[in-house]
Amino acid sequence: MKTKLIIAALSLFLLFSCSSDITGVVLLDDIYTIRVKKIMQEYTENKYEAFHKFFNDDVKTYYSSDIYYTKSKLLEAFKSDFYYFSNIDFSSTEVYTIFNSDRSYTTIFKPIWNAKGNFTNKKYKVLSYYKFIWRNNKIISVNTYWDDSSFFEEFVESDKKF
Amino acid sequence: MHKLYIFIFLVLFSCSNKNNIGIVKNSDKYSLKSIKFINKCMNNDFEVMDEFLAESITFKINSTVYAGLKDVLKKLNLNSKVFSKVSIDNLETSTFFYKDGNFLTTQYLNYTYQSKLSYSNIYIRSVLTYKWFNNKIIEVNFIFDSTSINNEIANYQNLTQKN
Repeated sequence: MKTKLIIAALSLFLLFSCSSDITGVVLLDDIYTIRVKKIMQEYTENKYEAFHKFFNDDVKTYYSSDIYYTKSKLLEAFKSDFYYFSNIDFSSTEVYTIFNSDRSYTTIFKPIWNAKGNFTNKKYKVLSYYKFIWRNNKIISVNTYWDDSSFFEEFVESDKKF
Repeated sequence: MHKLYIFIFLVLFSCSNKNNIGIVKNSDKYSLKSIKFINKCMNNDFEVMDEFLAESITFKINSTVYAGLKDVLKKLNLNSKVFSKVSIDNLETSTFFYKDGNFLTTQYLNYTYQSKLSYSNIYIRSVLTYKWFNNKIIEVNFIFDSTSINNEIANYQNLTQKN
């Protein structure tokens, strides 16, 4: 116990001697960053092993409104991408995890989402941003950002098929 | 307490670890200036935008690029003709200071616009990133679902063309 206190005191001294207003540190290649890379890589292959492993059953995914997608709805949305698009992949991806002083940890995945439209043959390059919030080694919330209007043409063409 | 040790360890680890790319702050001058900037934008107050934005700014709204302060102000002014701000329900701002000396501010912002045309409320969830040079923003990346906003702007433009 005494050793722990000494380590804590020493750590705090070193921490605040670095800077007192640091709210988080950013790491690459920590386990959370690696897991998110795996989830997103599998998504491009329409596979979801890591998704099932690391997404909490009660995960809430937010897009453009305050209404959230459940885990099953999110999976449905991921899979439906392959109805509209093929050759889905990511480029120029930045991915890292922020370990915050409030003990939370968040993985950021910032890619360009690339795909070919199945109905238009158009090539899409869409700037995207995903924020994965972890708790107890599981993703409990995802905030996603991109512009759905980028896909308007594809959706219109797919509607014409019916 | 256990998790506090982990955090402290990570911060210390950050001083030397090659996988660490930087630290995050939210009360530094860039974060505070970003908050001031976004509040002015939300209130359609574009009077002193040159205090925040560099003359040569690149402002990316999803995939559309506006180059130069003049173009950006034109776009912001168009938005202010169509929308009035109703409320911000969440604003989270932090600046990443990278080990290589670069720094970048990120802002998560949920807000409600009211259309001056249809009076409908439009809820926006967005993320903005700012790159800085000489205390001014030189690049903005603004990502959000623009579907509802585009419809309102198109309606406004159709109406003004008819008049």
